[in-house]
Amino acid sequence: MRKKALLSFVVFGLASLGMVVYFSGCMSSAGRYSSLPSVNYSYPGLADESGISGELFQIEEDEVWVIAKAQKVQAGHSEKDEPGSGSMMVVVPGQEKEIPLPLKHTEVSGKVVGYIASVEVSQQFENPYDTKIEASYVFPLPQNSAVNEFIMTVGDRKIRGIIREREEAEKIYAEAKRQGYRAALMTQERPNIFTQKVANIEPGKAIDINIKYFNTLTYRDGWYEFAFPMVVGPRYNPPGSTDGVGAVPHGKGGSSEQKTEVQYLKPGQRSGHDIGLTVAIDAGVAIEEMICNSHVIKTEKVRPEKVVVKLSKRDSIPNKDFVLRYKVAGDKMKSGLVTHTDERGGYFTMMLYPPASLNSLKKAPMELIFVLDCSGSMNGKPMELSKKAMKRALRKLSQGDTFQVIRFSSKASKLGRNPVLATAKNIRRGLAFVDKLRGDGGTQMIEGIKAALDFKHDPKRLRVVSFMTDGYIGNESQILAAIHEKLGAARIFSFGVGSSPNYYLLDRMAWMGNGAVARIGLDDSTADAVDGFYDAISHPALTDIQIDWGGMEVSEVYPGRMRDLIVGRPVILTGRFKGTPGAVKVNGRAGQVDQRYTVPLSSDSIGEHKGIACVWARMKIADMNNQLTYDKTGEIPGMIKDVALEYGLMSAYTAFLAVDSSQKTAGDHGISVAVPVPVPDGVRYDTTVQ
Amino acid sequence: MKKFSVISMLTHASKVDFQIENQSLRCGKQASKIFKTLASMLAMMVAVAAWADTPEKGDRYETPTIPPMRFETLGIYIDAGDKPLAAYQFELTTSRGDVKIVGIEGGQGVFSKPPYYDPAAMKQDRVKVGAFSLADELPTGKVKVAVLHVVVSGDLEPEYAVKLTTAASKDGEKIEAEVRLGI
Repeated sequence: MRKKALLSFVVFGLASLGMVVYFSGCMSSAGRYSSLPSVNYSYPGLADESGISGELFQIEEDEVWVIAKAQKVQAGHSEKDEPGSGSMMVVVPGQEKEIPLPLKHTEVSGKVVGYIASVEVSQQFENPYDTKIEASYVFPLPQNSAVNEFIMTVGDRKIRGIIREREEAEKIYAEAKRQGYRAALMTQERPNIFTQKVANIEPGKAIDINIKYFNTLTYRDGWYEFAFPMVVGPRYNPPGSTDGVGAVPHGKGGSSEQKTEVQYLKPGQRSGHDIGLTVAIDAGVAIEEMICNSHVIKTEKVRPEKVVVKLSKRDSIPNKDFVLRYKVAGDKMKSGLVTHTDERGGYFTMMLYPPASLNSLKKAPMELIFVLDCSGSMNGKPMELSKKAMKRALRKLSQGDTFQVIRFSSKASKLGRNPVLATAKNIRRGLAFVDKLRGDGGTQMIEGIKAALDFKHDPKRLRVVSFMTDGYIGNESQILAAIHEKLGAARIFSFGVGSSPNYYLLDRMAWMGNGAVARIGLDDSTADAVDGFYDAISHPALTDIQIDWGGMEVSEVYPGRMRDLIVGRPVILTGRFKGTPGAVKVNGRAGQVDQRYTVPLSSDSIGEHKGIACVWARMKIADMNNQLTYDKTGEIPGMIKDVALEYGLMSAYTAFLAVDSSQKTAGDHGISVAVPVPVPDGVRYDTTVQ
Repeated sequence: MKKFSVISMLTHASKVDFQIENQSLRCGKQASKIFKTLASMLAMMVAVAAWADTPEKGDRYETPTIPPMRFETLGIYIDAGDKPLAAYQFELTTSRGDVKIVGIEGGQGVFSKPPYYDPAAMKQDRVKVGAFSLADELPTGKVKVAVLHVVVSGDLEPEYAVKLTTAASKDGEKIEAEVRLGI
């Protein structure tokens, strides 16, 4: 009772201060676990996020499930690293020697309620040298993460970072560093790539950085996907570019001449940096099945709808995305609509499902264009997986469809001049073409885009373009602009192949192309990915969607351009509202047929979440970022900055800054040390790092 | 600038070297060698002195294009008398000087966690900070609730003012309290 009264006060007095209270989901029947399909086909562009905080669940039962995967050989011995350029664990046969790095450990703690995740990431920096250092670390986060909290910990003191205009924050940080104050700065290089700088770490001393973000999970056919990226893959930057993300050997900082640069450990070297991860899931309805193909995990079942998942200590090298999928009871989640109201007004997020009637409608003839990335980074297992997936896709072609196969690396080439009919003979030709493909050279994705979209469209067919790539490029905006320019009536489906694909690029490509994105991890089933793709394209999408919001008066709904609804793939909408949520009516067209259906919103399907305002603001920023790819009027960056500052969010134009002004450290600020990272699991160093 | 000076010195030293060499034609080889050696040493000493005066790489700092900055801390204290303090919100204003918040730290005891701030207000150059505690044992009397880390730009000495927007008890009831700035 007392707590309730105090919380009421907080909502009254401090709602705008970002204080958050988590909401509880609904619950139901007992669960069952089994083996499952692996690839979760997700809807892109649903991007988004919001905010909560809270503790992990109290464990009420002590049931432990261990879902193990085949163990891989860990990195072996290494040569000694040069001092002052980062720490690493050097393992020599018969002898182990550890040279510490400034980044010791990353601890990730997530909490999922319904389809909204709040995740706290703690990066623990420590100075092993005899001089002061500035540590610099380029790291990934999910592409739809709304980072809204930043805390620098010095000893037992915690200093909350402030969101500021990026340029201003960079200047203040540089000055604080120069004057000897402990300071931290976090900037965004891409929606999924960030740089952390921590200045004036004294010898033997530690500084922790804690950040918090919210994001929405992806969902398809009852399967949720919680993903946490652990390493930035080595990007290819076209000649002449300087705004990319360079990939250089450890100790060769600055050699890429790119604005952002990642230093990679050589094969056989191993960083002493490790990672721990825990995620507590409250699905609201019973969790029936759960799988993690990427990592070895332990799960503790708290209740049928609540599970705590922990990353095994045996799998603590941060060199691949953590991808957890789980299936809930029934075919829809319980809290379809989540709202929050404070002094700024009402916010909502809704997961809108396609009508069941789509499943019974037949597709129109298609023109399928398969585009395979054959660059050096795909060499090895990613290429094997892609070829396997593509061959399955070719074998599933229907009579009456046409198809084309395009490969690209430094240049693009294709099966034939024009798409050909899916006859048995042509499919055999396609299979033989795919068999011969090898990974080598640069990633001139623009050549693949041109080859896939730059030829005359057959008006009798729906053009579906399927990209299979790791997305390791540094010129994402150029690629997205080209897609916007050349897309026409095509629909794009992208497959992120490998252990740590560039999901930002893949998600945006599919979003622009009104399609969907899927992962094919190193241990995922290509068959499931391809079958999911065919399920999606085998029925017409619901287009020209109009929504009657009933008792809700809505405004500023994002994404600004309503997506088509594809079978099995809901879309997340977020907006401002007044009034009372009730039934929502959806009108659209599937092929030539009008479709109407109602989404009932009872109290059972409405949740409350303080972080929804953050989700909304982040999705608004994502929408404006999309506009930036084709609207260069110059006003959009300022608009993004305004929204980010008002809601305390990270963006390309804002940065988190924390300075401990209570005490100057002695002497010069010392040397800058970049934290080197391993190349992602399955990626070859020799074909990717310059 | 420093680099340019060093290059000038070295160029000058070469000229001296050349003149000495001409003299050697008149005064003999041995004298020439001595002069030559001395001149070379002098040139090297000048160059080394010039380099030594140049800051090390880590120290090198161009004259900032931004106004001079200094960093300060401000302690915020709330005194609610004999009433236990469970929650508060205050607003910091400056009537003079260019001040920006660069970090917010907690205070004592139950208020040691870093408080929250209102980003929308911060965007308008207003600093609203608040926190609450659900602890059973709440502080009474004067308590340090927050430390603000600030950067001051320019020569003006800032004048701060802090206003308590609200203070509340465990039951969520508003209580009378005073807020003060300190160290």
